[in-house]
Amino acid sequence: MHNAVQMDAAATPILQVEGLDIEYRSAAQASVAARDVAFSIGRGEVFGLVGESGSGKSTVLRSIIGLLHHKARVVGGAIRVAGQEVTRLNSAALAELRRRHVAMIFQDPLRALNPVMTIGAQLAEVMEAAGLRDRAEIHRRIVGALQDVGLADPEIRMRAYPHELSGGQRQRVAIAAALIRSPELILADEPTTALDVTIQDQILRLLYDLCRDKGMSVLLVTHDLGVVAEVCDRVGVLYAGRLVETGTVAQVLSAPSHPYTAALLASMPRKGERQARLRVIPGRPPESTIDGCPFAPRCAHALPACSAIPPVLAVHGADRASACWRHDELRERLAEEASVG
Amino acid sequence: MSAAPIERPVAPFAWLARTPVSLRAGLAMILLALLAATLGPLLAPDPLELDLSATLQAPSAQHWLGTDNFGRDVLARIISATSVDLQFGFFSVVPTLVVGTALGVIAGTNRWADAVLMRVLDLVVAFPFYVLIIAIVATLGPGIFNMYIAVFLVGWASYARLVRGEVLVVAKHQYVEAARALGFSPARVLWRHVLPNVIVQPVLLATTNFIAWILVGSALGFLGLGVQPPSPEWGVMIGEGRVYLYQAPWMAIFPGFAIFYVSLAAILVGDGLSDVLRPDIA
Repeated sequence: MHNAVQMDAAATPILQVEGLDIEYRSAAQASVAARDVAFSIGRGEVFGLVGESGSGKSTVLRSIIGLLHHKARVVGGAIRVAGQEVTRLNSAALAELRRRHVAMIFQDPLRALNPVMTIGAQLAEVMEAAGLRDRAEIHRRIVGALQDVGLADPEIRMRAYPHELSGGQRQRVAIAAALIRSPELILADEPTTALDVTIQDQILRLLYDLCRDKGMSVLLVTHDLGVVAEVCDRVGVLYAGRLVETGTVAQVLSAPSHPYTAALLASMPRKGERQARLRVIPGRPPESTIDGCPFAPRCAHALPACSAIPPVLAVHGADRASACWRHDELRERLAEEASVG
Repeated sequence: MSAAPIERPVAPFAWLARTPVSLRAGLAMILLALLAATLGPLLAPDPLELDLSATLQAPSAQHWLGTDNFGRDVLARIISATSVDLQFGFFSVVPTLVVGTALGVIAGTNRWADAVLMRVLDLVVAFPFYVLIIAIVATLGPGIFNMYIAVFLVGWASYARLVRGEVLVVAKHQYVEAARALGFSPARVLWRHVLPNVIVQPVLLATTNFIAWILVGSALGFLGLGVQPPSPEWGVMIGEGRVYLYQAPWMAIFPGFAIFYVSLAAILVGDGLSDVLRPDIA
């Protein structure tokens, strides 16, 4: 499933992010949320953006449809959706982009639906906003969309209020709302994190299958490498607002070329393996911008030079890049580290 | 839900059966009061007719709720006052609710409007409530219309402040962000997603204010600034009855019951409305 989409790579990517810099500004200071982030997503491709809390992954995702926090600003770089530069759109064009081309799925389905509107009314509103007026057609498509996301009795469900549905059902509705107008790009911000572990997998599977069927591209933000392994084609690893590594899921997860990725993989608990303690990466992400590699203070392989000069995201091999001065010499050790842990 | 695309055949008034009992009971009570206000004066004796030979009479077959110190029929006066008091409650609540809520939404969404409106609001709430109302009425001259103006100038503030706070909270909710992510216009987000989620608070405040304003109206009547004697008004009647509380308690007690009745109706309506407006917390 990871290789099927590589054929489309020749077409214009649905999303191109280049040299993206985002800052949070308060009265006293500006702090960097994303620095020089670059990646692209091909049509029909599922791209995972992973990182720990505060790594800037949600901020990057939100910048794509102009939903940044009011204190956050894109200060440099470019974001192109289907070739269209997003950061310079006026509000009308941005609304048009949100209505037709890009849809977002939020983390917490319990809070992503309006509590005082029925499911049917909320889905109808999405289509009305997109210019559909025919009542019967709207009704038919709501029923279809609810069936697509696996909700039984759509005719009854559409009259229900969000609080009358379970968390999993609500996330199904949220997915239906996002997909109902067949957008080209889905931005999913930890879509399963708030759900019960038992249904996380179902929802993820559903999202994946629907997008695959309709040929939609997905940017999936998550902190869960298991999720990435399961549904993504390519992956980008974000650390302290910088992209430290990108590549296909197979490459990155089996042979990481950045010490952070390796450490992240090593810290995943493994099935069938008894551990006295969970493995952790010592230290914490830097709280302010530092001169060199942001991971250097926690890196087991850091050299003095790492803390002085920031590594650039260097392309090596087909569709593969990492930002580590030592990625070449460390290659084998990192793969070993990641698998043994 | 207005935009629900579901057309289903339903019996007329079937929706009524789905509304909360408290809403139906409260509306029925208000309907009864309205009936009394419109039809009552045709059936009851003249509320202004003096009968100095029958002052301070206890309730009897002739005067069901007794007579006052001028021999006027208490029941006739209560019925006659119903329309005055209901009107006062209505006209002091609805305009302040609508304008106060609108201003609160504007303040909650626009920083500049917020700065201006909140300073005006500070000015209004800085004065003691009664002093401000009395000052305005005194400036404009006594009378019921000027009382409405005074009530309006003071009354919007509590709604505006309440709604502003609610809007600031609701606007941060994820469903509002989700609505924006779907490309809805700011006006649509405000109207369909923010307002319905904040409206229950001002509506509840309005139902309690409905009673509070009737009492204010009564107080103003008592001070000679509102309803002018001899036309009956519940608060004025209680004020008059206060003097005769030991000899003729019915003079104050029955108008008090009337206020209690309307209060109960308003509270029931408010309770029912909050269930209808917020199905998730019902």
